[in-house]
Amino acid sequence: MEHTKHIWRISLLLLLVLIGAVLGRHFLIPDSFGKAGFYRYDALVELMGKEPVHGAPDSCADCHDEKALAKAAGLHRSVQCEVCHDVLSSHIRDDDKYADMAINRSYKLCAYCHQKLVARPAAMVQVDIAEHLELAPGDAIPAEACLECHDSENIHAP
Amino acid sequence: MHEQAMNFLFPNDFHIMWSLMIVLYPYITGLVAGAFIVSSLYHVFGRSELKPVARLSMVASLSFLLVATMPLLAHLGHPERALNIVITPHFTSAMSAFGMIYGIYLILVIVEIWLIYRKEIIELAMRSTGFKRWFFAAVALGVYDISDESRAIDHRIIVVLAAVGIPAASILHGYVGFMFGSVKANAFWSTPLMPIIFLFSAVTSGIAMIVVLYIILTKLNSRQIAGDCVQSLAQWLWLFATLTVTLELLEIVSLSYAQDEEWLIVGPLIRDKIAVSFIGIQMIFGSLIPFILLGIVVLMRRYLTDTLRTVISFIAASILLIQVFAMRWNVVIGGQIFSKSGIGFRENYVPELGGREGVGMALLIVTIPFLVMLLFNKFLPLTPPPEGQVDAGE
Repeated sequence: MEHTKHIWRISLLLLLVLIGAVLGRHFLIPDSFGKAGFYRYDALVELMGKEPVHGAPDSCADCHDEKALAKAAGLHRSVQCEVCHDVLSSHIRDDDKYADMAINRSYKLCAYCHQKLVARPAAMVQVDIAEHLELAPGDAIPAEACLECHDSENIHAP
Repeated sequence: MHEQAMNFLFPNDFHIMWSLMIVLYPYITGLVAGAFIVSSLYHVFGRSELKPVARLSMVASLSFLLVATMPLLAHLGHPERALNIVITPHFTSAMSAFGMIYGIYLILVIVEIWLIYRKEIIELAMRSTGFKRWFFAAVALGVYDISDESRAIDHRIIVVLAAVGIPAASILHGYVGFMFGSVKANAFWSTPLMPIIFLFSAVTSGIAMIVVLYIILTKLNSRQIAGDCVQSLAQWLWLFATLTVTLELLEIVSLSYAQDEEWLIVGPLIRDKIAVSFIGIQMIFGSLIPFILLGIVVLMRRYLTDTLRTVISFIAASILLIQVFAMRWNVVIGGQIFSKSGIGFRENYVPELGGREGVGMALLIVTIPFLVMLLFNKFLPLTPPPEGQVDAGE
């Protein structure tokens, strides 16, 4: 066919692009991809090499067994230590105490579970914080309002 | 940090994860699909009065297509991982299907534009010297055949590509609506109407953009604005805007009329939380006013002067561009400010100015297509040559 030279050339170019894409794909896919599922298997190995940030559920009990036992008997037994305290790696490094453990004392943390909410199970302890504190309308809730009365003993074994 | 959490059941309710960038993404792909439909009206359906905008709409479609994924890259971060979804596509994933459709559509648009502009590319190569000559000769793939026979072949292929492009553009944008429509936990999104609404509003925004671009470009070039072209665009715009708004209203009306439990949260959402952007901007300012303005252009065609028609169409198209953006905003942001448990609302979302997902980034992304068009126009004209030079390839 006459006058179709440019059509053949662009078709050839598109074919080259396609071959390039298939070849490129072959080289771009990581070696371990698909070894154990639809992901790069080596990613697991890389993750395993990282320093853990959080501790296992029982890590704290190694040193603080009294608190752990009390908590295990209390209503907060299903709440992990690191929910209210900082992560284990900020406190322990190489099996030794590294720094003091920070505690989140904000009333907002308590409110996360205990703010009155229609959708929560009725058995859950729930309060309207402003009402509970008998605050005047518009008054701000003090930052550590809950801990002023509910102390540590109270929380670990209520 | 837990301020929002205090009135919500689910922790995924108190962050607006899908930010301004996710508003921008369907907006841009909509412009891509809509602009392509305009050029197909000329190439496939023989609306010869649209010839002045046929090239412009193709190049506009390509320019926006080039930045269509940028909001996603800005939103997700890690642009180096962007290709993973393309090289290892999972065939049950709608998002990986997008990679394939995007790739096919990109090639299709580039080849069609190449065929449309082949004659100009060859002429440019022959006129130029040095690197420019070498460059455009390479773009022409070394073939300098601009005989009538070769242009006739080009024309036939352009018609086929433009026809294939219609389903491709529809799927490209229908997919975006599908992504929202398939989120079944979200009462405001979860409807099979969503892809259809997105598609029609995409065509609306595409036509509106071409009206605005055509009028501005022609004024800048001090050329005569083709009255019948603007008239035709205004008529199509009126049709698609009407269909879009009808569908948008149908979705809300059917939710409201059925009084399902979703309405308990969607009703207050529309009435209180997004009243300004939904009822005010999307429905009254964005839909009613252009409906009346374009209605004047459609119904009072005989009494309008060219200037009046141009002015009315320009205003209506500009408002419709805002309407479609408001629609994207209301769907994306509106769908995230209520709790999936139906328990309440979080505070409204205000985008940051700077930052990766801020207003500045949005403006930057939207500016790039216009720079691409400007660069393109420097070598290859976006508006066709003056009357008398009939181009077989168009």
